[in-house]
Amino acid sequence: MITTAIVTTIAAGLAASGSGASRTPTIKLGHVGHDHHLALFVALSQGAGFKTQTDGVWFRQLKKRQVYDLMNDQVVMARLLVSKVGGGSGMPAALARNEIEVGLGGVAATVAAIDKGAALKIIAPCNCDGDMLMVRPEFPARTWDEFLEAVRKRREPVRIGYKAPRAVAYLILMRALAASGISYGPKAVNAGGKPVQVVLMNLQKGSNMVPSLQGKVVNGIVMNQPTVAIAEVKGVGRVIADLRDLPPKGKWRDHPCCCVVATEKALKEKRAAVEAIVKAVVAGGEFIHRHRDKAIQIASSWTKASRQVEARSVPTVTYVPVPNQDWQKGMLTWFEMMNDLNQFTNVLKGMTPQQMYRRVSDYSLVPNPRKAMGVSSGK
Amino acid sequence: MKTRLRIALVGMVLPVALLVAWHVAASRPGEVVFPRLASVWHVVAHPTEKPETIDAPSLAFSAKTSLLRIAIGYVLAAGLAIPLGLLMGRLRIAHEVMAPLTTMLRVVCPIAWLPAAIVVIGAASLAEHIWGPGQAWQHETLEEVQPAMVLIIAWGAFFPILLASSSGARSVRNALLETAWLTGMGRTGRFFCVTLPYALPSIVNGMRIGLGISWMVIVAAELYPGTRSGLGYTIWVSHDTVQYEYTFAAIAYIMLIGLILDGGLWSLERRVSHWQAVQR
Amino acid sequence: MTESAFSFRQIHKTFVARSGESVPALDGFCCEGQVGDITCLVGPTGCGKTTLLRMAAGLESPDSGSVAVNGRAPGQCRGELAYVPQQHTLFPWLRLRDNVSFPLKVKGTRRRERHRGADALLDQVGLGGRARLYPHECSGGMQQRVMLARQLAAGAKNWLLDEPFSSLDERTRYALQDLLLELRRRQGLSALFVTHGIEEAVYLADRVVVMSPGPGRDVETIGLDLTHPRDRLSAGFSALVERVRRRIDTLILGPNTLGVG
Repeated sequence: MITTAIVTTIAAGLAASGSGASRTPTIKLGHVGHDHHLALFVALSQGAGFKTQTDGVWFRQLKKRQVYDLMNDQVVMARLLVSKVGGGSGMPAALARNEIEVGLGGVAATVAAIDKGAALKIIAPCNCDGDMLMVRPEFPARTWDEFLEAVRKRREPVRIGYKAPRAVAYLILMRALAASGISYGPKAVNAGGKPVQVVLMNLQKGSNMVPSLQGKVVNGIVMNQPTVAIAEVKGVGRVIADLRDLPPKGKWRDHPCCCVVATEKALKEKRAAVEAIVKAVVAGGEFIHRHRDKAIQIASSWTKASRQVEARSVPTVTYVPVPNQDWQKGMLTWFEMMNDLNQFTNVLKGMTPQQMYRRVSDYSLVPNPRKAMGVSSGK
Repeated sequence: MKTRLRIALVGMVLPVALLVAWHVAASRPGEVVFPRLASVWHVVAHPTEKPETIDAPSLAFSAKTSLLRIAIGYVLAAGLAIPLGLLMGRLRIAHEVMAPLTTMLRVVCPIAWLPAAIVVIGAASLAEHIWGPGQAWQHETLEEVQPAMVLIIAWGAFFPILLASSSGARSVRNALLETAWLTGMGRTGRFFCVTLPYALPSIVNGMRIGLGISWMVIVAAELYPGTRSGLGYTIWVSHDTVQYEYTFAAIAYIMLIGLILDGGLWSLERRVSHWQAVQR
Repeated sequence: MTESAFSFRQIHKTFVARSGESVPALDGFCCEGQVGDITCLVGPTGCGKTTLLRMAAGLESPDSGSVAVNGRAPGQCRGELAYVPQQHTLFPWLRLRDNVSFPLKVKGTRRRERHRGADALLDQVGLGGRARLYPHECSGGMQQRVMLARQLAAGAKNWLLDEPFSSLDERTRYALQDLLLELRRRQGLSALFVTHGIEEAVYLADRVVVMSPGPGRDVETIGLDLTHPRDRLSAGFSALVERVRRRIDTLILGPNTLGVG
């Protein structure tokens, strides 16, 4: 019975599709669904009123959060199909499979995909920072220094969880611990048989962080927003440090988190539409700086996290509308770190950080990039 | 009447004990993972309400979507597994060809195929395949059905049904087939009038097991990229945002629907196998 | 020469066990069953009686020799033979009415007519009003009656019966023996009947073929000229049973044989 229904629907659909269905080109865009991509959510939420910020580009909503007409004034440029893709390598993988053509997602995963040969380009920044160190409420520390003191005093190692081996938060914490003279490793005893002071546990997924913290599987976590804000609001943990402030001092400021990525194919065949999206995302980022409260409201409405959570999360994230000096510096630092860890094995192998930066990026679509290079970021 | 009451009361002991243990766990200060029963109940009792704190449609819509995915996957699995199983049970060459492969494949968890399914089949929905990506959004129900997810669900149900069908066909009493042969009945007739009815209890039993596995697989299958609804999806998305009342409400619906569907098949199994237990 | 209902000529058969060992079952068996007669095969366990019946039904083939039913190969007689094994072969998922009408279904008879025919046959075998029962809801005796009814539905004139009443109590057995004789009288059946029971053989048969212990061959054919219906309680019947029993014992008793009946 069900098979008959499906076959009938398919037949009807095929009949209908032959009778003058829309020829508007489509462009598929993916995001991860959390507030790091707030600039996009802002752009999609503003409707026609936004075109004053974007030289005429705006989004006409057809189905909230899913389908929009990408407009240039009154002209439909493309049908925009928005979908939530997985975090981490989920977004560049979706780009590589052509399930989406433009995506917002992690810099680390994107660059790793490019190194493996994926034909992608970072076409605009999205945000920096937004990674925190959080501990359980009873842990005797309220600052990084107190954390180090507590680690040194304890007889058994402190367990800190992270979400993935390539997560920026994890990489920064390792460097910070090393710079502070703290031994760390995946087990309580290192390969040489010596006990470590901090055990770094791979919790596999961001959603495992809160249960692990509550269940005392770990004493603390390093994680991006808004998970940290959610945990704080739930009373499961307490933020003791913003990773941008960890030692070596100043090195982690403006560490890149998310970016806007496009397939080279989309850049070639749908350049105008991609450019319009970039314009809108840049304007969205600028909007966040100018209208913080409204932005928090939009974040809550899109992510479904409470206003309380977003009010804690959004201010800790540096929304970077344009690839300014801070963004470039953060990217180069990050490339340097990745190189030291021998993470690049293919396309980017042997390149200097500057060469990598040029290879993975194409900011030509960002409005007024030269002018923008002088604009400083800041929360 | 007294016996029935006693059985009912005894059967309620464990569930009630679990609920009490839950209540105690949820009442602990700082408890996040075990929400209060009242908040879970509120979600369960309002299935058509769109959640405000997770990015998912109403439980009713999600249940409908999950059911549709399972229905398509399950029908596909049964439609392939039953004839193939019967063939393997009656034709030795078919068994010799298929058995090694099916033995190797059936022990692989359906979810292990998720990455391969993503690459090979992609994430486009049925609506996208039919009407194109630009128009698919207008067909809400079929837009939620992704062929790859359906195939993973089908995989889960396929092997129990295949094995049960094969076993049922193989166990047909030769004497019954000979009786049909002696009356002049041809091969096709013997298949439909003897083999199939004899194997039917085994087939239906396999279908029950397959359905249970489909329901288990749905939770993991709805991790599939591009999923926007479903009871499994609701579990994951509420897990991500620490809204566990939705997690457990979705689990409750999975259990309830699973119970109803299994009950239906159990009833069918009883009907078709009434002769088996007392066969002299 | 009148055509035989059943004809076995120099039947040899050897089975190969799973271990590869050869098990000879029949060693040159010969026998003719006349049209309209009941011929009983009597012999110790393992002498190949069931194998002979299966050959006559076309379910087994001899290694050498020939089997004929009404002058034709058994395979050509599908639909015309009735085969009643020791354990009933009623289809357990079908009601008695559908079991009995099964051969009519194969012939393409319409449903209403099939059911009417089946009900009449069930009446005939003493099971009127039980058409909606399932086989597992019936006693052993009832099941065998239904088997007989089904063979009647097939319209077969040549019957092969392999100890069909052996697992039944005496009273039921007697009733079914009488039923068989009545059906033979009315329908003009020819039957090949395997039994361990001398009394049963004497009650039913027109001739008794005595088989040797395995590998089986025919030792002697004993003609029984006592007219039907035979009275179990009569002196003549008892004497005939005793004579046949002694003759069979004499023929087949040896150091490794079991007495028959």
